[in-house]
Amino acid sequence: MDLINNIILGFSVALEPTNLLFCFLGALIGTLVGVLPGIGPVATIALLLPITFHLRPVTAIIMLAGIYYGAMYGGSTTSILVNIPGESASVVTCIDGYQMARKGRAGPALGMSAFASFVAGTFATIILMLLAPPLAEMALKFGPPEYFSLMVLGLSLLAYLSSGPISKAMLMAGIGLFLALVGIDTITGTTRFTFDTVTLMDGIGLVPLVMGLFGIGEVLFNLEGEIKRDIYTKKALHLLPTLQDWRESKWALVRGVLIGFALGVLPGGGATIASFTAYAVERRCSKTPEKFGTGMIAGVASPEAANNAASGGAFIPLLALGIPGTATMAILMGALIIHGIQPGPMMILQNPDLFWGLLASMYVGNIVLLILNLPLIGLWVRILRIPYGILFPVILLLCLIGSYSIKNNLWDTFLMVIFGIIGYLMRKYKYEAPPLVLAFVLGTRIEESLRRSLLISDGSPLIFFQRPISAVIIIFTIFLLASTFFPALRGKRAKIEKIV
Amino acid sequence: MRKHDLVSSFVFICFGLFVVLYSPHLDVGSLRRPGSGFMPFLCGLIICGFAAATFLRAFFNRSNEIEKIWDKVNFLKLILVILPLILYIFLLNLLGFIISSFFMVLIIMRYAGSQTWIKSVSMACVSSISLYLFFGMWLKIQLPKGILGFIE
Repeated sequence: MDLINNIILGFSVALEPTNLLFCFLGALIGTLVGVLPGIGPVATIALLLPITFHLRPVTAIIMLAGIYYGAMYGGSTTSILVNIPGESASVVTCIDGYQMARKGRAGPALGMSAFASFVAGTFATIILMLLAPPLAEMALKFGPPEYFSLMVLGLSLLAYLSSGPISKAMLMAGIGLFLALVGIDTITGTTRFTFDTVTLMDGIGLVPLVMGLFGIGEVLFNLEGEIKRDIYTKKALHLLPTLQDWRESKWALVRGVLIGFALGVLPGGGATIASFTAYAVERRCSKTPEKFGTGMIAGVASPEAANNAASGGAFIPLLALGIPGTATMAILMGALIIHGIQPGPMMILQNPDLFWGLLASMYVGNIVLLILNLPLIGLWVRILRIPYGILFPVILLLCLIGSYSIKNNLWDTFLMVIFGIIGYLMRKYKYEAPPLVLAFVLGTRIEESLRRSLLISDGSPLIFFQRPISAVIIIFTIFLLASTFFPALRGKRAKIEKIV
Repeated sequence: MRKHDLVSSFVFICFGLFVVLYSPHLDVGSLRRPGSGFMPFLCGLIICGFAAATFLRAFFNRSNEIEKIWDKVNFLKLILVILPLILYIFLLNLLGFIISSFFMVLIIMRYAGSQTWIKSVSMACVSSISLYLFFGMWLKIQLPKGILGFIE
């Protein structure tokens, strides 16, 4: 009965007028940035973080989460209509979605994508409600060694699942870890790598880092090529898929949801890999695999369901264990910490209104998105027609304001521009940013848990192998890193990407 | 990517070495009593290790595929974005938010975004003023007023 009481509590929080308004706002902004190529949810959440400072923590997190799942909806709209994925998670939707649009069936494709997203989002939220509390209870028994192993596993998984060579991804994790160490050591009070500057005494800020890497870096990178736009909206949009469409995509939808959720829960899994995998599975399950890529509705339903289920699933490690699995979750964790809340097993007990309110707001948000997405498609298309040359100076200005407003410190802004240039170079030299951000966010906790574990064990690193849970995790991590020498799974993903 | 990987991983190896060599200044301590320099030391080793792995991987890569990553880059455009951004930071306190934002958006939009003068001027006007009203007035974020300080 506890669960029902909690759900009622959640809805009473989510349906408060202010929270409802900000949930709506988050979903709307999320869809907008999902539609706009060149700015993604990570940079947007970082950008809007300072705005949430004067909001209650629960309202703030409801809005920021709305941006995240809203972007998944918006990204698919551009994939289908323009063949430009607004987000990496909707890259595969382009394949069949755009072909459907070319055949004059943009309406059903958009309708199916919105519906699949809705079903998947709702499913993910329900499972999240059922799964997170018991998981958190289990995690309460974790000590520093378990947390250390778990965080190392999370980083390794993210590196393992990234598209480039694992050594490059782990290298980025190392850099992120280093950046987290800059500033005052919380245990001894020593300043580290500050080069006698006051700005670095506080450590490097999450917002300048993320906005530089994901905001400015992306803009600089996009300056190279003209973004081509061919919008297919000549025919009147009939949004409802036909009965035949439903028949063709119902199982694709179910499979997409399940695959998406399972992969979303894994640290490093995330929405992008989920959608790629779901599409590949769908092609394998299909009786007519050769038709994929010519405008099959199942090829839209399955990845769209998967990316939304995954973005719901990704909340589990963050909310239950306090360990984010993706870059977006990392910045959401940063947001919670700035608001004075430490995500993790204690959060569900100490701030039940926040936890249950957030979950209930996801239900509400999914309904808002369904209502929002369908009638507003015309508006999104019009926004897409704004040339990038007009858009990006404004994005830059927003990044400048965002990084400045955190502490009213211009050096933070300067740091952001530097990270922007670094982010650009990383893109050019094919180094991925998510492992860096994740390691950066986890850095201080990794250090703390490592030092504490060593204190507990009186200096023996064997402690990580002597405690059963930690041993299982760390052995799995070693196995994972070692298995990159047998790149069967990673090869498979590269193959999928090649098809795209 | 081979040549680029060799270059970039070499830079990271140097960086990792710097971190490793600098850590003793912070007191590395011992396994029994890890000090402030312990994690940086470990971190430097991790960076060196994976950078070396990247280097070796590129070194033994036999494919002769040459990827030119700087071919399509319009360096002038890049500089025309980065320079106004840096100037903006240094002039923000002096000129205030509205004026510096106006000129930054104008220059970037006109020269890097290749928009017409009319479009650039009007977009620069609209964005700087509306963002000031939104962030400065409505959300009460302290944006520098600079020489326009008399506006309340």
